[in-house]
Amino acid sequence: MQPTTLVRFGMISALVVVLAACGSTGDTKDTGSSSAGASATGATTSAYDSSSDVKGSAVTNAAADEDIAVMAVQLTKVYYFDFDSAVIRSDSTEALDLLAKYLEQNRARSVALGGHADERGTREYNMALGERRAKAVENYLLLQGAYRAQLETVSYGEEKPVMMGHDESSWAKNRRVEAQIAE
Amino acid sequence: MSKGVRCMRRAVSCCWLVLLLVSQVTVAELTIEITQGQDNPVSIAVAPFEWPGNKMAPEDLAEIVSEDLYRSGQFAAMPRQNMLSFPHYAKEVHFRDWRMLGAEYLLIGHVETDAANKRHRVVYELYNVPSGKLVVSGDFTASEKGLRSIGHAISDKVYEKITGIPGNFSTRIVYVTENRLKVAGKMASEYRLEVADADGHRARNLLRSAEPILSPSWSADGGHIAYVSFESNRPAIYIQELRSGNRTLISAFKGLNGAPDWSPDGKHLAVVLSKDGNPEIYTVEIATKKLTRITNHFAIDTEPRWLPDGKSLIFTSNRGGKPQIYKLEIASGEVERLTFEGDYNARAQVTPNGRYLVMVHRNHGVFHIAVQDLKRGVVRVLTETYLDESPSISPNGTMVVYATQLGDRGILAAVSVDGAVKMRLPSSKGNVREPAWSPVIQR
Repeated sequence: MQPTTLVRFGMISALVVVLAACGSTGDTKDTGSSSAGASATGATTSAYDSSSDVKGSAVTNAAADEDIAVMAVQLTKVYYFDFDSAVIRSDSTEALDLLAKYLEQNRARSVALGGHADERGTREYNMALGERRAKAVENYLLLQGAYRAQLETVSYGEEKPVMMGHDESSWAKNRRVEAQIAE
Repeated sequence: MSKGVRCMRRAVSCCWLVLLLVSQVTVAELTIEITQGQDNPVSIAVAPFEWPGNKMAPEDLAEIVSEDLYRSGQFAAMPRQNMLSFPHYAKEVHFRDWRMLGAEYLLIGHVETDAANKRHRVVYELYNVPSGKLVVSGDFTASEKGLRSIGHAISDKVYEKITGIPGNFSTRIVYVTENRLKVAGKMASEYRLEVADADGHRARNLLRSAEPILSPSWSADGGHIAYVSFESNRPAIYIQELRSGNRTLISAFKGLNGAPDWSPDGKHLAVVLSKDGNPEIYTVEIATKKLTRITNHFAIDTEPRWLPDGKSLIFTSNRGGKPQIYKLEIASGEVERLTFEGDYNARAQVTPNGRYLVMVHRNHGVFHIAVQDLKRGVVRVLTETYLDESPSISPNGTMVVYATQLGDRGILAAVSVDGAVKMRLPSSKGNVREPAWSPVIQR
């Protein structure tokens, strides 16, 4: 049993690394810097308005903080999954790479990862599945450079749907991991 | 999440905690509607019971018994307006009349009141109409508050004498309700753990919370309930005594704390914890909180359920790729797969006689309740409802209560293990889910 576990984990890790490599393209960087640029303008406005007499260094700090806050706001924080699956989908990797980068640059920040499932199947199995999903995201972020202390997981199973419908379009939105950034 | 929001959330959860165990809040009233009864129900007439003095009886005992038997799906109870007389004593019974009306059985009764002590003695007699012979007679004594329970106790006697199976009319059902309310202009959910008689009456609130409650499980003596509550924003397992409302925290480890199931000897809980990184099944000795890990696999292992012998458990695992039911012998650690039909079998329970496995089963993409004959391996789908889950077997092994979806609402429904009787238990409001049928509670 033990070797199988290791082999499996190795395979998953390898897969995650491959996916990660695919994700970190030039596009990602562009998005990152442009959003940072946009946020700098927005942030400075409010900082200057309130404290025009404040020393330069303080202003810079405030601006940097706002920067981070705005970047945090602009990150995609919901990652979707397939039915009965905790495998990170390729359409989430780009957003996760950005989140990992954000955490790497902001070691004081942490992220709560909430795992969720759709309403089909049993509640306790879905609770376990939600945890699997949150942990898959956690592992991905760890491999991308986040610290363990920055990450926290909790599963809500099928208990907290965002869509109330009983059809595939609602279910697809409910099978998710939500990242909540905290200080 | 900002600190302010967090604090507020914490404050809100504290408020809920203060409101725990408040029982005057309105509870969801469940009613029972038979959607399919047995083909040849037993015909029984329950004549109104005599109440002493000229005051109205506080409870219509004959009506309680009549309704109980009808709702089992195995009886046709004669409407009162069809009766030619209302006998209370043997000497008042004219069997010819009852034969003509087609009744197979006749139940009569009367109440003797001890006014000084405010106690009521209810005397009942069950007759076989074709033979005119007494089948069973007896009496129960209680205060006015206990009259409903006497009605159910009489139903149990009548049911057992006629079918040969103990009745389950004196049992209770615990369940979770969710109501979506507007709080400060925002929609929020309110969760409640409630307990009611098996006929849906006398519902009582056990716990209110702004966060989810799930997986209630009865202790073998019916005095306590274990459940999972997210009231601290993380899952934790609690035990609550029904009589006092006193609670004990059993587990709040990092990760999952779920699916508690009380052992037949009442001393242990089987639970699911992921504190070691992976959902595994543990047993907790309640008195000492000593943990013993009993599964060790990288897959999801969850929903443990003790077998009646207390020496083995069944559980759900996706170790074969999809969720299926496995059996585990605790002493040897030996694991055996039990289900092979369908690509999703979960939350199983074995009937008290050990013969049948009742579970959530996916068939053509739809989730139903199914029963598997453990001797022959045959699987039979019992329900036609939608998104069925959380089956719980009655203590006499004849009925299964489960949660399902009706339109936009979560409701409870029940089906007999042989599939012949089907009923719905719609609630007056909100979503109802996670039913757990109590054991037989000793009076």
